[in-house]
Amino acid sequence: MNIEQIYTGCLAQGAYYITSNGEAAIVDPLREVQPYLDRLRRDNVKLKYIFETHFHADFVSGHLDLSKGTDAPIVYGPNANPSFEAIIATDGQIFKVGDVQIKVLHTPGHTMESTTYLLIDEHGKDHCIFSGDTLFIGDVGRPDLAQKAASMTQEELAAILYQSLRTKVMTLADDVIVYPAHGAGSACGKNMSKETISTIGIQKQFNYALRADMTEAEFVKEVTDGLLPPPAYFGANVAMNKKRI
Amino acid sequence: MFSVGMTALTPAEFEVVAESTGALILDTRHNTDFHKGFIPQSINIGLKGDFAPWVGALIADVKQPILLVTDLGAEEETVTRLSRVGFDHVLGYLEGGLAAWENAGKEIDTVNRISADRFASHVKIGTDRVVDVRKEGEYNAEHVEEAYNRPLAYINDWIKDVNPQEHFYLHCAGGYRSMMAASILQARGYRNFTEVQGGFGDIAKTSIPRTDFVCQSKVMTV
Repeated sequence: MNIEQIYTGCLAQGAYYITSNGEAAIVDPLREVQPYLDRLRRDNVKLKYIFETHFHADFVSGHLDLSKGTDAPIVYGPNANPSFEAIIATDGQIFKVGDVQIKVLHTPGHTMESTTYLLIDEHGKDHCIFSGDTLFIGDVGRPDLAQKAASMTQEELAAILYQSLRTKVMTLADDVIVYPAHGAGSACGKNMSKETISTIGIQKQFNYALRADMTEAEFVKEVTDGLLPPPAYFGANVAMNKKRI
Repeated sequence: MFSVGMTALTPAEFEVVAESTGALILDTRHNTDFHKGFIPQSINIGLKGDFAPWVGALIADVKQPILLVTDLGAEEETVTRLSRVGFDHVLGYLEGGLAAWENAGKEIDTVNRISADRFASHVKIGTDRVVDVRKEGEYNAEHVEEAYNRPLAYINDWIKDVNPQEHFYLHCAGGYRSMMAASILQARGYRNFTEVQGGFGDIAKTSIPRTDFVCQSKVMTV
């Protein structure tokens, strides 16, 4: 098993390339897909799945081009409603990639289709999560972007995010590695750390939004406090990511 | 998608395309090069920085036709970075960069930029207007005494309230964002300002009085 974080500084975005026993998966690809195709050829592996943690607002994803070039299906979590063919996974569904398994943890809140993918290694041990915009290093995803799409307020979405984090993410073992979709500088959160990788244990210790004694009301207040209006292009990019273009 | 936008245009062609299409001229060179000379009306968003998010935040319309001025050799990288955020309507780039434009005898514009030391020796705190385009949080932590906070991200909101008759000083944290602001101001016809090189980072090394006191009349209400 090999996991590579492909980090793009300009967007403070992390895509992930996973290989195991002749098969591969890619999480949250950027629009230019040649670097991924080059890796697949170099490693002589077959791309089995393209996982999207949610409909991104801050960049145009390369899932469609990548799927076209490789025949690999695109996977979203529950509630996703793209206008192209994709696997809409159920909560807890497991996808096999070589000798590892990728388990769908539906973690709505940042958006209602937001999903965390848990990688279970060859030995059946929880190894890492690809947390999308649900959990960042030092922060969590902003709950205000999907208000219109979900017909909910940012407070309602924040409360859902609180439950997702408490029941699906914070219950994982301390040594599970966290691979987020963004790092410091991204407008998808407000207070992200410079680090781009962490663990559940470290985040429970240092991430303000994961502190043990935090109530739902405190969480809602703190994650919605001081949010800047989203950049003007976010809506257009969400629309491009939902459509067949 | 990479073939789009990779059309090289001579200065004469570039000028014709700009005039006939109303395309936005996007100059992605470093602010230390941009201020010395640029095509009038062009907008500076430096490739070395949070380029794509700023393009998305300031240009907003992904269908906006764009003409590029870049460092030599940075054309393809620029087109790739634009496409990552959905800006696919790049009509072409200026072949030979700004040097070719100048050699062709075409008009250029400049930004009035001064060092932090010069700013420190000229500014009269409390009398001169100082506009700080950093984010609210950066401003709140520490800023020049009596400075106004007008974050770059909201320039389309606050630019309407700029008095074209009153001179002001403009700065950010290091010169990246203030040059974007300067280019937008000049493209809209405002020339009554002086931009401070090196931003608050350099200003903090001078004796200019600074404070963390936030006066509500000097910050934006959004």
